[in-house]
Amino acid sequence: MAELLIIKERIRAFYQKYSRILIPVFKFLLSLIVFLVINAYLGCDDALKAPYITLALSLICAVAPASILPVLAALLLILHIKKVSIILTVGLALVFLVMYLAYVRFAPRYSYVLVIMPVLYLLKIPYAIPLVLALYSGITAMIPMVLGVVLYYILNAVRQVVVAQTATTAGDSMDVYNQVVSSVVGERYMWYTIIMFILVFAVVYVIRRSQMKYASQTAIAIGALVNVIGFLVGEFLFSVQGEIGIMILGTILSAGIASIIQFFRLTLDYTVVEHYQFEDDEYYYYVKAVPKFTVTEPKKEVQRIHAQQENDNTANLRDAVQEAYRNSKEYVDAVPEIDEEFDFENDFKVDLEEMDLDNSNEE
Amino acid sequence: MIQGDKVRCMVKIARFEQSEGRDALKNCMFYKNDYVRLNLLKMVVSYTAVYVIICVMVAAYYLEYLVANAVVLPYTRIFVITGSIYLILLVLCISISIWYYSKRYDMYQRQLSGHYENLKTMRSFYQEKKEE
Repeated sequence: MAELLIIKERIRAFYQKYSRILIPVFKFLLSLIVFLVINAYLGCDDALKAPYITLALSLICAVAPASILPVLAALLLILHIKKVSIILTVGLALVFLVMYLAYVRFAPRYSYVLVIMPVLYLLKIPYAIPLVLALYSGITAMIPMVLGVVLYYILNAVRQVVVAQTATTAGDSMDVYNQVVSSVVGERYMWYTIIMFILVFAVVYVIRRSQMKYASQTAIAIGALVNVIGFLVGEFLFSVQGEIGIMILGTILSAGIASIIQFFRLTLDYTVVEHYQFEDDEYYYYVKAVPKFTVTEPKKEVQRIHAQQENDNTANLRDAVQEAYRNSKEYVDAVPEIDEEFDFENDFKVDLEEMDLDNSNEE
Repeated sequence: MIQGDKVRCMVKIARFEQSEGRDALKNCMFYKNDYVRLNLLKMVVSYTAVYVIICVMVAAYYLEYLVANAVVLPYTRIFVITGSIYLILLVLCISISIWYYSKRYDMYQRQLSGHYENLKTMRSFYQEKKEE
């Protein structure tokens, strides 16, 4: 555990140090994934699938505020669908407008959920959204989660219709629109998924807010369990074939992602819970304080094997001493009488000391 | 000379004004009633637009039927039903919005109370300096 906490601290310190670079890089990568998925999943217009367009859009998202990603993703989708059916394009644009007016305009904070949900559906881990959102957001985060599920099923229906036919006349286009609407509204499994996600969200939200020990970890575990049981029942009820294994794996992976996020967000030490009671003029307080895990990174002791490297200062000092020594020796060599009497090794010091004394007396 | 407490206080103020306090500072310049009414107005406009768009989309779905039976359609009944649904949902949305925006305003006020304390501390620093 201590090693994990040290790694966490290192990663956190690294992130804090380079956040100015890392945040745009993460935004760029996320945008790139979203645009690549859109191109692969609903890429009807080959011109829009060009790599430089994808890169340019991702670069814009990297430097712009986070709320620009849903707007550009919606725009790209609309332009792709425009190639197939005008009426479907108008329908999709109206759906995005409804989503914007109903939610994004008021609470743009979680608008990225709308974009991420369809992407996670394709990666088979949409269950991560209710688990993660319920851990650190308010109850209003349920709205983008539900809209995200609806958006995925709309895009899925559009894809099925687009793959089946390419409409050219107005009559065909109306048929395409009717097919998509019937497919989405009549998709009972979508409504069941929405109910299940709301249930999982509510379970995780209630448990993680409780005062029990390891509330967040318990919330993730129980939420994952409810998710598995709920979708197992759903798959039997709606006869969904071959999805059980993927669903269980996806839930385990989602619970893992939620645990990692929770670990980085908050790690509490329940072994030293403290209880306090105190009062002020208006209230009496019963306080339960759970400390956060804190670790200090062990200091590394560096043992020097090689001798200290010579720098400019030591080199200058050594040269000065050698020169002084040489000069004094030359002086002694030049005056033979002194040489006889003067013992360079022992008397030189004494002589200097006497000189210093003289100087100090003069002062 | 740099005063540690003063720098800490300034950092707190700057951090609040540039992150979580941005919305609070922007919205708390209104009185609570004005703030709730303004957002209620925005909500009603958005809700009406959403309702009209959904009606248009439903109409587009039943377009063939509507065109075929344009003469015999019970228009009065259709308008009464759609109007009633609109009004019921509007009342619901208004109730939720009043509760939500009131709660949000109170939250902003709580956030700002700490900020005002820091501003008072800063003022006391400047007054001390002036007296010196």
